[in-house]
Amino acid sequence: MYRTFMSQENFDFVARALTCLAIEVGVKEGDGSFWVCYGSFVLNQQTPESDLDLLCIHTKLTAVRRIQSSFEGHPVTIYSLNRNDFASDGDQKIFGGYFGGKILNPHVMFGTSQKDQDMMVDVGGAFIGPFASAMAKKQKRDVATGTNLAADSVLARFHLCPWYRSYFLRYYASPIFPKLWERMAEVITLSFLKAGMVAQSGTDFRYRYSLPDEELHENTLAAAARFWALGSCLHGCMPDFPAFYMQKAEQYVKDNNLEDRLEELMRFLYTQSVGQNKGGIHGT
Amino acid sequence: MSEIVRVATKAMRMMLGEHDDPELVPISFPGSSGARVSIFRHSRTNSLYAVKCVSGSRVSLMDEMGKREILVPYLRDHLPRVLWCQVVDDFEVMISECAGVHTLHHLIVSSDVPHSRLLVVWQDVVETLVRTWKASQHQFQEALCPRFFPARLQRIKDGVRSSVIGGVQLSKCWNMPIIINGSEYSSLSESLEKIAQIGKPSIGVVCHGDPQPSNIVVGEGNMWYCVDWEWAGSHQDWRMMLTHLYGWWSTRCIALTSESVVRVAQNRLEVEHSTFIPAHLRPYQDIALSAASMMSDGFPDKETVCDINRFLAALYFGEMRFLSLWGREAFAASMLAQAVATVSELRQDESAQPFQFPQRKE
Repeated sequence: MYRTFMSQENFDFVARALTCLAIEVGVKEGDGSFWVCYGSFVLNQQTPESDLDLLCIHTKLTAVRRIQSSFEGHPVTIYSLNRNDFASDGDQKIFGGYFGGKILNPHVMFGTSQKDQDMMVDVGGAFIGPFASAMAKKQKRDVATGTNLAADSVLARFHLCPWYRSYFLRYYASPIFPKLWERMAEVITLSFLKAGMVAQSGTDFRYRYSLPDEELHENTLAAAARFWALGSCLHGCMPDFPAFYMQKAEQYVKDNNLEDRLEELMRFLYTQSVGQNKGGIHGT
Repeated sequence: MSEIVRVATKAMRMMLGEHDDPELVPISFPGSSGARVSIFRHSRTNSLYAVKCVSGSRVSLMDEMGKREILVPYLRDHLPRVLWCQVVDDFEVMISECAGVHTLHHLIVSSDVPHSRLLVVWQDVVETLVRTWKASQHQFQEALCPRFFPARLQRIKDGVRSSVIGGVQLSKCWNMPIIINGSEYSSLSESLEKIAQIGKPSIGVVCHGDPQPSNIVVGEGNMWYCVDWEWAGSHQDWRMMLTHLYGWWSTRCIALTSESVVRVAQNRLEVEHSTFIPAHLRPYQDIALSAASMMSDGFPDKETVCDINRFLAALYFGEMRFLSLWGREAFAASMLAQAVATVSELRQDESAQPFQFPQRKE
């Protein structure tokens, strides 16, 4: 999906890492497992200290795990989970989008079949779709362009987790953001179509349904609770994980004096959500 | 009140509640990562807490806690529990149980605890680590090693290049022969090339990433606890870990007999130094060395000895970067000399003398 953004050097580095790291998760080629790389390596934004962020989806009957390893001096964080568990984070939001959300970010897949790729697209769309629909409803907008859908989905993620804003800000501040945003609009649109969230009419799209307010509220709380509960479990059962995550996110904005950029990002997203943009970020 | 103490105190109050007034006991020297640990005593319960504050560290404290989990199956009784971890005023702060106020380092160099007792603790530390290495051994994959040596060696090279000792900028002497106390040795560039030829071990092991006395807290009844888990991992090279156990005594405990001299003369880098490890500390180093025999079921083969010496030389070169943190800048010439001498004397013949460090003539 985002392979064209990743340098060949990074792609080869990750491919090389996966052959070594497979042993950490206990998977091997041909056993139905596949890998997803997300985070700084995808957009070549890594520093020597950056984590290599990986998701390993497999068919083993093991619980979700967070594995910390390293490769050629880079710290590595691997989330390992069963294929069915991953799928259930889409429509059912069983982990509150802990994984469904990750694949809404730029990512590159390794060792995937067409069936795997279809599942990935479906899970992302199924997870965020109902919340994105609520964003459109709030804007009183019936028809959407691909760009509107992308903005809806990002705003929906901010609604579920306001601290995700500082993470997304890294994309927004990148010089390649205009091209990245175009690609995100294409990928999100495809995800929503695949997950049956929207119906297409030419270049326009309509959300197929929107949740009643009460149900939306309940689903939002459930997703948030599941997300933070899993996060705490996977971080050494630390009850402080949510506070730590939130404070780190706020710190990133403060340390880098990005308060103005954050406001600009929010204006950009609202503009993209409301406007009849056919794509790109021109005229914002 | 320093910024670190202010933040640590604030974190303690956040954890305990505003009505408690934790008493600051000591604060440790910073580690090479720059982290600072303050120790507090609870005013009513007398319980001790270690408060670690880091800013801009290479390893986030939340990730360090993940690394701790790797050690749990092997060192369960030697790992303090983490109680609290949050961000406070620009610092990541972690509060953990504290079973003792002092590290083994502190007790050895500046306490009245008898060495007979501390040697027992150190022996147990070394033996427990060797048991961990043996129980966790698996095929070594260098790329997965948390202390990935090629990257570490590059950082060491960069550190040596930027070092200035006795007014001499080492980058300007990179290819000069080095004369140490009148004997000629390899240049810096040759020495570092020899270190880079380090061989691969047959096994990888689980280990704390920096096992040495500053990272061991001593509690009651000879109990000890490992702290600072940020470089712990499953794919360590036990020979590198052994050099941390052994080399610490050469880097942190040597004494100067006279002031060192470093100069450039006739296109040669000349170093004159005289250092020794105090006799009462040598048994600690012998215990560290015994790990090599325990791992090899006898004396290690020559290849292993040479590789351990290469790691030692790398450690000596590397520690030059941190001497100022410990107020030991005066030992820079000795570290440099020892690194060069250790790597220059690598020989796989009968006369190879492993792990030497100058001893004072009795």
